[in-house]
Amino acid sequence: MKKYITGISALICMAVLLFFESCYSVRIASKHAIPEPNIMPEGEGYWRDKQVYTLDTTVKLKILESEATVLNLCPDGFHSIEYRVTLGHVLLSGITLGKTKKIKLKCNCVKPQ
Amino acid sequence: MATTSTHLISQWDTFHQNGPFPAKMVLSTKPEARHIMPVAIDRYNDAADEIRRLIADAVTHHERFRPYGSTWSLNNIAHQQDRMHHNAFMNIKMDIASGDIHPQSPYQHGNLFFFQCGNTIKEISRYLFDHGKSLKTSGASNGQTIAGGISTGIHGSAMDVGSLQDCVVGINLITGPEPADVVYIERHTRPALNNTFAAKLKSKVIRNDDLFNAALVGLGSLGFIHGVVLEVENLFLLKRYVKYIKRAEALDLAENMNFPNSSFVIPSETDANGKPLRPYHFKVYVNPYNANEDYVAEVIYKKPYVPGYPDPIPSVRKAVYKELPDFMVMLAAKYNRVIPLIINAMKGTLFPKLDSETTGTLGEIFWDSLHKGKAFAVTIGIDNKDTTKALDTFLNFVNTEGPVPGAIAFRFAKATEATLGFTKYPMTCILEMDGVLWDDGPGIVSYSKFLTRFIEVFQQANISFTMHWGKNADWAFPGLVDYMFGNKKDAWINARSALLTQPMADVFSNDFLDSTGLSVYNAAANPGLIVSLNKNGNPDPTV
Ligand SMILES: Cc1cc2nc3c(=O)[nH]c(=O)nc-3n(C[C@H](O)[C@H](O)[C@H](O)COP(=O)(O)OP(=O)(O)OC[C@H]3O[C@@H](n4cnc5c(N)ncnc54)[C@H](O)[C@@H]3O)c2cc1C
Repeated sequence: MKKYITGISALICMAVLLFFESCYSVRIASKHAIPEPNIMPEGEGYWRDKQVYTLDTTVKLKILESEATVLNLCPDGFHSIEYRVTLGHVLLSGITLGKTKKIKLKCNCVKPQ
Repeated sequence: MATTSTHLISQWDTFHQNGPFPAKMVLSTKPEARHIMPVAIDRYNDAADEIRRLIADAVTHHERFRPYGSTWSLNNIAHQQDRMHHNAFMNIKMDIASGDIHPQSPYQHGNLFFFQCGNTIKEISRYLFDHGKSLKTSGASNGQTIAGGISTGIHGSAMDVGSLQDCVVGINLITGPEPADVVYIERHTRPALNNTFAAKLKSKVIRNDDLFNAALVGLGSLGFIHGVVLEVENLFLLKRYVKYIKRAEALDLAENMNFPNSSFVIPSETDANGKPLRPYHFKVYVNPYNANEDYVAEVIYKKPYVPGYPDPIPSVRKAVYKELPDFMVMLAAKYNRVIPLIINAMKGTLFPKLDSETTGTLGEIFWDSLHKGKAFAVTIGIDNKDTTKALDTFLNFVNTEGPVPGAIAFRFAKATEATLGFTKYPMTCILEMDGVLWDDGPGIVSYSKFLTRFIEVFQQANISFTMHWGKNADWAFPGLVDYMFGNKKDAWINARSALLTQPMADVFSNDFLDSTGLSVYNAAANPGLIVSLNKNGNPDPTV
């Protein structure tokens, strides 16, 4: 019985670790770029004064069009990009042996000059 | 052609969530694309036509019209419930050629630049950097638009430079729907651009110090500021130090500005005799809830620009003022006694990092600021000679009637020429508290009472003060603007009444202006106030 509980605990620990390891977001911003403002402040935090564009899609490896879709978000360049990876994304990639990937992007473009 | 998008809304708010305020409509204008209209001045004039069209539409619908910039003002000065205009996309920039300069101008053409209203400070700094130039001063951060920034009179602590509006030498205003309502104004004693340039802007020229000074800090109410001419200077570096400073040393410097004879010395910033140099910027941070603690000084020296210095931006970001977390607001509403404990515990994030040294351009040192929750800011201008009295009044007030969740700082700026500029004292000490906007609760003074009591307490202490137009105050406090500005209030009302027709004065009014008593119209204002003058102060027949 004790062995059984230890096994379950280990599994839970691994799941929690995997969850924290694989659920993260990375935000990158260009230092000198001027952010495209939104018409009115919205939400809280970093994006409050920025026009936000999002991309939530699934891409299959070797489909180049999808890469172009990402770039079409900001024709003149990005001010900042937040890339989010969740447990679901990791599992999907694992199950499909890396052939199918979920992309979840939030970004702000440079202000048109 | 410039295009305007229309957004129907029910409420509008500021960057720091000081509202929400009821609102009907936001209009946002984008100038024509460069590849369709390649000449900047054509795009600019085309945008002016669009703004006139929008004003005409507001007039037709008997509605008010209020431009706003980055919504960084922490009160309702930028709000208007009928039609609001979002300017941030109006960011045309123009260099000034030698042939554009007025023959009697004291300015060098290479130091003058023309910026459309929606350019932000960051954007302007970047553009100037590419020209080897810099703004002379800015606020502590860079997100304000140029028109929004000058309209409330923003400042940093460049004590011998002044405030942002003091770098403006020409203003292009749209005061109504007609082509004749586009005016370019300057000081008659210091003209900047010639009549030919004004004609290129399709503007009537008015050179008149009084009108110009009234328009410099116009509170969004002297018409639509379409563009401004800024005087800038060659790129320079700033070297920033953060050190503990004894209260007595800080207050002595604040009141006497006698840096060479101060006991506060930064060893690397002394002259050949070992005497401290006068800094470019001097700011002091105070923990209001610990009387025994030394203050923190941010001292910045101006240096010639030499490339190759270490990138200052990561370290500057760590030092930017950080708001207290939301949990503090919750706690504060219930148990105000925890506020001093939290402020003490969070000193590391509230104040800049001690013993740090950073070098960068003005644009790099006063870098991006991020939204970290609902915030309030109370900022007054006082004569620097009154610093000790005012600081002690403030400390006593927040310790007896508070505590409230905020920290105190003071900065300095020399007097502005703007009629309603709040930095009006020969050397203005800007005394401020920034903090978290709290919810009313049994354990804490209510926010609105705090704002009202603040004014009462300072008036009872007999301290002459002004308040920052873009910050929090009980703006409807009876007689507040008279107390702050005396007969300059009438001078401003008269200049506005002479420049705008009565219906247009109403179009460019809002609740803020009504509650401060500044929307009053003087139909008998002297028309001479808008006469263009020559350098000797006589009517100028050439315009
Ligand atoms: C993070 C932060 C840091 C700050 N730091 C400082 C500081 O260091 N020093 C300081 O002095 N202040 C500071 N402030 C206050 C702020 O800089 C001022 O309130 C400033 O006026 C805001 O500029 P804005 O572009 O956001 O204008 P808004 O707040 O949008 O508008 C301000 C006023 O300008 C008017 N206006 C805007 N555009 C036009 C136009 N085209 N024509 C006519 N009127 C117009 C509006 O109607 C309104 O009356 C800070 C505020 C924040 C949020």
